[in-house]
Amino acid sequence: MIRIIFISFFVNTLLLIAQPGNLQNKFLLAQSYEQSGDLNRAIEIYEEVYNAQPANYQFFFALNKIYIQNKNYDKAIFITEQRLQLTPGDYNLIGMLGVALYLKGDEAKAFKLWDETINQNQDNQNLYRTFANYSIELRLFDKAIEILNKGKNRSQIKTIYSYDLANLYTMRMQYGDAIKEYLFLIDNDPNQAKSIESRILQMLSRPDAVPIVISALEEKNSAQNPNYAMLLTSAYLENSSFEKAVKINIELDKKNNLKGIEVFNLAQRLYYLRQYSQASIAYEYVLKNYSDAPFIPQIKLGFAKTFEAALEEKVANVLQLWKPLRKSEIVFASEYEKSIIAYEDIIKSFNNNEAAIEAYFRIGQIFELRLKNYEKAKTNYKVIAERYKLSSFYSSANEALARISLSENNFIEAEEYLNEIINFPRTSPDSRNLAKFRKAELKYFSGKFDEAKNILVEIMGAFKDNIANDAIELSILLNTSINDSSLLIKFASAEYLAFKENFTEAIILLEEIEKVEDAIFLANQASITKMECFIALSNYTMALQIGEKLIQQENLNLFADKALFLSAQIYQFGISSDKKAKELYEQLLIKHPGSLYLDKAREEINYLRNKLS
Amino acid sequence: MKKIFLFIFAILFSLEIIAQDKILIPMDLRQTDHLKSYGITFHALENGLKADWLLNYRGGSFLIDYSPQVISECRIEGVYFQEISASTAAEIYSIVQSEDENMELMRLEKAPKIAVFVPPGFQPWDDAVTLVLEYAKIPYDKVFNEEILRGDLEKYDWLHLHHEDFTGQYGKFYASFSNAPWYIEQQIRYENEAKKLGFRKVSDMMLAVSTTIKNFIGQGGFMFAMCSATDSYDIALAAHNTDICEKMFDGDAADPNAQSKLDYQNTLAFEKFKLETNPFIYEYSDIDIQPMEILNPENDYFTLFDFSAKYDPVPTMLTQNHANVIRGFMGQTTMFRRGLIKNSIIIMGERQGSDQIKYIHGNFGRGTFTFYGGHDPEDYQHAVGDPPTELTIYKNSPGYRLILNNILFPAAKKKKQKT
Repeated sequence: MIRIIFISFFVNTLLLIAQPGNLQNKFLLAQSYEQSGDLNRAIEIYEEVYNAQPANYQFFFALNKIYIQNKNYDKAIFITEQRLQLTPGDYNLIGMLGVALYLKGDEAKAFKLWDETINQNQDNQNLYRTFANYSIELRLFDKAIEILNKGKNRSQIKTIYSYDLANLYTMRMQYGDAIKEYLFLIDNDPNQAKSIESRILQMLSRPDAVPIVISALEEKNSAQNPNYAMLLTSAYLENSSFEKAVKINIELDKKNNLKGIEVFNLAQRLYYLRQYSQASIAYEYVLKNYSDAPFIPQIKLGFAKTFEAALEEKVANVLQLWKPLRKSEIVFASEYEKSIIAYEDIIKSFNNNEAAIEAYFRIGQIFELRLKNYEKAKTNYKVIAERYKLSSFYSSANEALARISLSENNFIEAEEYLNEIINFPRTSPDSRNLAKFRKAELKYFSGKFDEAKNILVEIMGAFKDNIANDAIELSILLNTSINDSSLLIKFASAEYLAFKENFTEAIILLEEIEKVEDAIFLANQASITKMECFIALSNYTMALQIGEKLIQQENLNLFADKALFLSAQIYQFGISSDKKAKELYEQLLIKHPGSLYLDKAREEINYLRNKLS
Repeated sequence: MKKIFLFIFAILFSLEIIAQDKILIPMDLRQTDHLKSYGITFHALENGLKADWLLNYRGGSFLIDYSPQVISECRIEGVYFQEISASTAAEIYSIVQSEDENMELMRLEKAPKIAVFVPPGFQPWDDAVTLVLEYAKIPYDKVFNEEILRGDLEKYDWLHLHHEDFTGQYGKFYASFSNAPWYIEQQIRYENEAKKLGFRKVSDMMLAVSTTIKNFIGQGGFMFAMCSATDSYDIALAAHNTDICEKMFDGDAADPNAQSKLDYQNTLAFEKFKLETNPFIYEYSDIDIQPMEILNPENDYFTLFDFSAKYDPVPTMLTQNHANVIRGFMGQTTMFRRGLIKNSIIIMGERQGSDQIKYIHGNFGRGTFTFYGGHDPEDYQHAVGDPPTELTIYKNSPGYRLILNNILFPAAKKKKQKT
């Protein structure tokens, strides 16, 4: 409403101002009508002022525009033709006339007009651009491309149309043509390389463009040209062709003496993309060839980390991670030795800073978990525990030391390390709870069940903590079986043996527990742990026998669902009998609809279904 | 003697059929996965089993012929079910068919063939219907303009339209996304397709598509539209005599008199609406309810109408749910303005005490259509570029159930209306 009042007031004011002969005021009035949406009234006034001064370009332009807007194409054509008679060489007018003809539906006439004008003025570079722009305005991209190509073919300076053409091709998703134009531009006008590269990189965000860009760049023998190599690297990374990306960068570096900078940058990118094996190849190349480079410490750290990460990926494929208990194996020892050397080098380069502390920790982990050399592991962990209390690795190092002490039967030392974590004021709540749980486990293994229970009570309060579930599980075992402490001691000893990967001896103890008739819960617990021990030993026949017995007891046994699940896992991963595995997972769904393993079983059924079909 | 033997055999045989157990899939709050229940029923129909939809019985439960395969599927998919005896099934049938209960038995005959209108290329949003079809493992085909215009719709029973713009204004995203690569690419793709199919403008092609869809409905098809496909579809039909697209959409100006040239006779659900002609405003017309009218999103709930199952089985089917007050959700088209809905249309869900209508149904020719406002029932304000909703978290979504009611509805055997 306010808008209408305002417009009326404005129009009335203009009417008062407008005097006969004052065309400019009338023109303003027409503009006001146009803005208020009263096109018919606006047209009347525009016609009046135009007829009064047909040579006035402003009046002509406004009238033509409103005719087009009001779809009065014939009138637009008429006044444009009229004006063309006054200025026959005005290409803008010819462009406008073409637009009006096209909108009227006379496409052939419009194109003929433009084509003839172009043919008569072949050397006028602006003409091609002008008509191409009018075509784009009408969303006639094919016509625009045709006009610009004509210009390119006829012009001495071919590059002046390439940028527009490439953009149009990209828009039309004609990536092959687009990349040709862009590369033509880089070849002929290297100054534009940076801006063109950014356009090509944008194009790479479209998955269907990537292979086209790659093939065009490969044809160009990109290793010779740093600009192309950079683009090709990005295209390879988009296409997950990491090996090729590394190869071309190394080739480029060798041919152009780039001092490893591009290869180093690529290595960093590959590390963040978790392409560790290729990243380590790139790092290694720089290390070997540019040992005096200023960025060598960063390369050393990156190389060590990626090398180890790549090894860990390989290890994950070798180790049978599906097993609830596993026997540690020393795999890829010589490669881990190399990794240690790389970390030691970092310690030398970065003495006393966090990178060196991390290197100590990583060396400790490799010795402990991969090479089973506890003494060397302890030496490295102790450096952190004794010298770097404020480091973020302090708790982890102490926890690892406790773990090693425990596996060496040194309970007192293990407890001391855990107390270090618990009592240190800067320890995070998560680390403190984990240390407390480990301490409760330690007490449980040593038969001090009341002490273990008291510690567990403290952790179970922290429901948000990941360790709370483990604490609850251990607490249930302690509370249910504490009445028969001698048997519980035996079970704890068996679990301790399993912790130390002494599965054969653990099985002997577990079998003794199974024979006790009136300790049903602990006997069942012993059976399922025994099954896990046999799985660890890869003795699947025995594991399945135990599983079958537990499964048959169905609801009478708390672990029947777990036994069924583990049996299915043995068939799936241990024996590779997918059909039988699927059958057992399905049985789990039928017999134990409330089991904790349901979601995992469903997931595996769906996976096996697809695999088997 | 031979006849007596045959007679006894026939009786025994018929008893065997009657005595056969059934699988009940309750759809009340006991159900663990409402959405997958529809998939189970759909697959049972595909496998030639008989299934009954027990309207208003325990949230609109399904009763399926006993089959170990169905049971196994229920278990694998985590759908709660009960194996019931023939006598229990008979008891349920008698309850459902009793004149005293607002319940009805709907026999489901065959799995409908489903088509979803999906444009090729990247779309920076997700379609709730394809999400739920994928989740419930219900098979569907993707169709687009070319397939529709060449007559492929006759192969299908059910067509879904979602975040589509049938007016040719590319969702009216111009103000916010005209420079976004996906927008530019989308416009080019549409223009290319229009050209390929012999249309001068995209809006002409979309009108032809809209008209073909209308004919599909008229000939007995089922159309289910959500979000902007609802109002933009009707607007496109109404604008068949005029040009409502501004220059940036089709290269020429819109008809200044477009509003007065709208033909409301040609629409399915809406009338008397006013166009939003400003290309910079993200709205097609005044059909849609604006966020400001919803006021506090915390209070945005809509209520499903309670229909007489025996007298109005169709809207009853479409509103089967375990909840009848459902959390609202926004979309490019969120809800419909009551005053602009034709009188012949059945309103099935509304925001009580307001003129905001969420869920409507109507007939055209021998077919029917349903419009459901909003974009994603479990994402209140699904923005462009947002990740898709993870339906494993919303297995019991009442909002998504309404979509699946529409999918099973064409499977129902047509009954004579009670008088």
